[in-house]
Amino acid sequence: MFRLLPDLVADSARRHAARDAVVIESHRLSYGELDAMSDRFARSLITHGVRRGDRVALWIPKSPEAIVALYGIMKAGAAYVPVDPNAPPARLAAISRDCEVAGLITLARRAAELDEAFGSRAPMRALWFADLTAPDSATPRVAGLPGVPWGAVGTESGGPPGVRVLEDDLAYLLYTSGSTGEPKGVMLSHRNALAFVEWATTTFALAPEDRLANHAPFHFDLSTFDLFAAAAAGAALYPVPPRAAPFPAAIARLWCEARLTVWYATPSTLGLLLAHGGLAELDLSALRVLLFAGEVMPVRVLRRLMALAPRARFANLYGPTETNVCTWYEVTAPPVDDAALPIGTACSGDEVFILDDAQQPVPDGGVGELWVRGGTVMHGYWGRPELTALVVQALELSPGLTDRAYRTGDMARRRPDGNLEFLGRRDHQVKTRGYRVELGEIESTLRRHPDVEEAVVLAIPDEEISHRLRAVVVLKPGGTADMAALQAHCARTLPRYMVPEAIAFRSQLPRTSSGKVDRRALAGLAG
Amino acid sequence: MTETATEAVIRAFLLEEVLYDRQLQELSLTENLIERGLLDSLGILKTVTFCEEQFGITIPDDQVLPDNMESVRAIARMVDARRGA
Repeated sequence: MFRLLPDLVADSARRHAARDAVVIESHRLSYGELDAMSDRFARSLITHGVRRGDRVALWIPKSPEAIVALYGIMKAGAAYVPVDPNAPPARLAAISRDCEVAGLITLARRAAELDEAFGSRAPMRALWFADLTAPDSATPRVAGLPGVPWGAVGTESGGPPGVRVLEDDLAYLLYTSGSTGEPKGVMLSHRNALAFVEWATTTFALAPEDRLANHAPFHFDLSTFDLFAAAAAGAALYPVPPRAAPFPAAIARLWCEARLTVWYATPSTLGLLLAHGGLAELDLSALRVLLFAGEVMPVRVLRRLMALAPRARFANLYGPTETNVCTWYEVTAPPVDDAALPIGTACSGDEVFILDDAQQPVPDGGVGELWVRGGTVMHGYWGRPELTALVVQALELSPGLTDRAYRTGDMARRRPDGNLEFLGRRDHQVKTRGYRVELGEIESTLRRHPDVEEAVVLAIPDEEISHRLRAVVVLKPGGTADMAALQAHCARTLPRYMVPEAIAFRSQLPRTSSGKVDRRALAGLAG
Repeated sequence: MTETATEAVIRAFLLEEVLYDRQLQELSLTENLIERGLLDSLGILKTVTFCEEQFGITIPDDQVLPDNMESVRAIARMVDARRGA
């Protein structure tokens, strides 16, 4: 049993310091190096004013430095806040202000963009440039702050920084799409993460000989398995190099040539590897565990994968960012029919319930909302107690016995064999390429354009990527914005996967008899 | 730096259909699209499909790799090589 996430690295460093912890192309970090460098980085954070309970943002492509930094942040008692390195700088600035980050790790070559996005109102006390090796008088500034070059981190003294950190302290904040237009920060503690990591490490029998793929970006909660289950097992982590990330053929070759033993990815990613990565011509004999999560796995994709790696274990993992993985279903034989794969039964020490709107259990086999309680349930949304109270509620487990539980917004049913089936959302949250998107966030972004009167975003179901996003817009009188102008407007603040790929213009929106926008009628117009 | 006809067509497509930003005039022919995070997997697929249709060529999956896709110039070089082939 471990108490804190950095203990996983320290323990692996004690047991086998020379083993690979991280391999990215020709860059290798051993457990000994990762532990020692993250100690020094923690000390550098402390030197520059980061304290226990602070937040520190990461806006940096995958690299050994990024992984050293996230462990260093946690060793200093702070929570890491990974922000999509491909998102516009305006999104980083918004997130940094929302959770008042004390520090930022980024690249000097992006300093000019950052300086523009932050203006003079930067919340952080210090920033680090992972791409500057030597201290340099020409260090660029962001919001008036000079960056600490990565080279200076090495001059800190070694050894654990000696900050007392508790299991319930926050380890990381993951920002997800928010329906009212602002992303919201999901607060997760060391104890939350370890509940999942310990289950996963044991269940999939991870060992030091394993080599784990890491495809998910660090702002996506799938990465917590890759990072921390690898460290718990003392196994090697192979993050996809940023240069190869958008290329299925490059990823497939890399994973097969490096003989990776454990893959965890979204069904969209695995589908792309099959369709465009040439997986069928490659040697998958080293693959022993293939896990997928984040969206519904098309059964025909799963059948093809199982045929390519007949000796591997396959499992469908389920859980929103707010609970990490809370149910799982192991697929022991290729499915014979096209029925949707179940999400299985509770795991990570959690309990799950299917409840009606009055929070009462539905009769056996009935449809209800999925609730989760247990060690993985988040602390809440950063700075949004009202929003947290809507989803984390006291649930009466038996007369007089209550516990806090998370209502997922996912509808589910329990099959006679005990496995849960996922039946869709009760709101306007959708998945596109495994990313979780609130249609309302895109709609409110569109409405902020001066020419836009009304905007509705629709998710058109798609076999390969779950959903495609299209918008229907009503312009204000005299408004002249066209599709390209509105897409450019969205791309300035939203990640690119949230920009609608087509926008239709209408003079008004169809309404239901109750006056609400008729999304069903619109789906026909937008398709 | 002079721009070939192929480069101009690909550059215009990227700006309007993938990057959603016609104002991004500083997108140079040698700008690294991957390093700057401008092209993701869906953007790559859209670009490949566009080039195949626009230039009447086929681009096999095993050619869709960083070296052939990392800049407007690299994409145009691959397209022109396949048109000549």
